[in-house]
Amino acid sequence: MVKLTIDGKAIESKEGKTIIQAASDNNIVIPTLCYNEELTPTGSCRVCVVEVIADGVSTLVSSCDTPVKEGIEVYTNSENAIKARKYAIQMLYSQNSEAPAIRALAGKYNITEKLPVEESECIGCGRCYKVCSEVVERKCIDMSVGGLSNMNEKLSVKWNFDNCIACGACAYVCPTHAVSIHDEDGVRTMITPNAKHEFSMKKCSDCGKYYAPNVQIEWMKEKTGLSDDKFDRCMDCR
Amino acid sequence: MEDYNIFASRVVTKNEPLAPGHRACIGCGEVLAMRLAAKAFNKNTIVVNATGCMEIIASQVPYNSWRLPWIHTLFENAAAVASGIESAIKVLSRKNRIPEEEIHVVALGGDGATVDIGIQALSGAFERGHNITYICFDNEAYMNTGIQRSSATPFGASTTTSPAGKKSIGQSTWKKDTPSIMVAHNIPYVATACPSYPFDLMEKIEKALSTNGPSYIHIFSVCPTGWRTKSDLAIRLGRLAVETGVFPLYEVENGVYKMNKIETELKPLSLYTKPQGRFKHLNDDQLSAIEARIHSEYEALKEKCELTQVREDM
Ligand SMILES: Cc1ncc(C[n+]2csc(CCOP(=O)(O)OP(=O)(O)O)c2C)c(N)n1
Ligand code: SF4
Ligand code: SF4
Ligand code: SF4
Ligand code: FES
Ligand SMILES: [Mg+2]
Repeated sequence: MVKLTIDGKAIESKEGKTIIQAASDNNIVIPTLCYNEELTPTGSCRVCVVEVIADGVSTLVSSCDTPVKEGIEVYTNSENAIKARKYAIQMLYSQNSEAPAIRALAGKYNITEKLPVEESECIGCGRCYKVCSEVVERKCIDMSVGGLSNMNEKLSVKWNFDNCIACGACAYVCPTHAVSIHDEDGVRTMITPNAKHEFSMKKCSDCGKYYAPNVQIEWMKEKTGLSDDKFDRCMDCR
Repeated sequence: MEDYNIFASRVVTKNEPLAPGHRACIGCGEVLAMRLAAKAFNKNTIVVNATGCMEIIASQVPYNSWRLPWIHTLFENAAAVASGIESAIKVLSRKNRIPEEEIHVVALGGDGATVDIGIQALSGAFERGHNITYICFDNEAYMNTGIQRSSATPFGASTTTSPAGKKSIGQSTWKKDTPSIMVAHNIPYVATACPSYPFDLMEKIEKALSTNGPSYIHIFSVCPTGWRTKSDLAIRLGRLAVETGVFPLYEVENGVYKMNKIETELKPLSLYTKPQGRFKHLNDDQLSAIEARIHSEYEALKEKCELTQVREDM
């Protein structure tokens, strides 16, 4: 066990936990954007920044990917932490002022002015990359640090649709809806920040509804080893 | 609505603010709705719960299933208690007695607690503009006390106080349109949801909690016990309610209506009513008459979406 304080509260936490996990275990809420507790952190947005004082030295760290350490003092809302968090939010807001998740943060921290950075729907948080590699295990998305956009390093994501089963998990986790899936007339269209791809869907043998992309069903058959007739019908007719 | 059907569920939080081991009936759709809703609350949430099934099954003395601060209220005053808590937080924060941070106040009530006995407290809270979220779990009757009809019971349903018989069709009045009443309060966010569409439900709860001002969510909650259905049908019946037009999924943001799932062709109503004992006395003519009204209301809702969206674009 590691002993630390968060906002003055003495806490014990298991070694290896991140600051945000220790905070959450103690009902202390730190705002986040790129973090999803079921994925490993990318630490890219800096919204979760906190001030840490260790051996008298103060630093600002992202709490979602910084482990707890014996004796540290963590301040989630100190003047320095708030200043850094506001800057992180302002950066996000400058890139994408439409996404509800970003608008909510900007509203909470009274941010209305934008910095002179390029606007883009994708804010490079990396969640799509993480979900596809860690949960779906298809690894269709490449993530790289793509150039310096003014003052911030920005991650960029790129899809390889050959591997993709059009499950939409990346769309689900995307905090800005820069990735989305749309089903119409037997076709699932995936829209990503830099490409669009269409997948044909399978028709239910009972009611005739298109219910899932063919590639996804092929993949499920392969994974489960079940026979074709187990995948003939939609959820309602099964 | 996006069909995130296989992997998205694995990235939903594993945190369960509503602990397992509660005493809801097998196959209860209402407690599933409450569990999903709770997953979308953050740790700074205070839950205010009117009496009814959801309060009874989660708080049998000396146990309590909630891992969040939770307060039980009377049948009629959840919204009033939530208003008081919200105001107290404001005052304590102004006086620096508690740290300044966002605390969500969520009131929960059944349909009886919400659309009947608690409606004046709720109307008052919304009119005063308290920053609270009110969630109504609508299982279409007073289930906790033995299936008495409420004003949310659908036309034709047999309940213990609207029994079907030789001279009675069962419930003789049309279901009260509560979401519209809430919209009429000019609050920023109103939505309908159903646990058969879990991602949509959780997204709406998150939206409601992050709304500044009052928000209202009306959740369709299948009750196998009170509806006289098999206990494995809650998800399917919820889906059928949406697909037949019985319970459309929509949200209203600042007066602008948006349907989350538009059916190009509504499924026949009988698919929904057949598996339910409460409707088994209805004949084909009666069902067609009910179906006709459901279809016309569905069209009216679609029109409302168009009209308010046009007004918004102007
Ligand atoms: C003033 C008052 N009248 C009656 C009751 C008894 N009572 C407790 S819960 C309940 C019905 C709850 O119905 P609903 O709100 O629809 O919730 P459900 O049990 O169906 O989830 C009643 C009548 C009460 N507690 N207080
Ligand atoms: S839709 Fe394709 S890219 Fe997205 S998570 Fe699924 S497999 Fe990966
Ligand atoms: S597409 Fe979405 S999830 Fe992926 S990096 Fe961009 S903002 Fe993040
Ligand atoms: S009576 Fe209905 S709503 Fe109440 S616990 Fe049982 S199934 Fe759920
Ligand atoms: S939430 Fe920690 S860096 Fe984004
Ligand atoms: Mg009820």
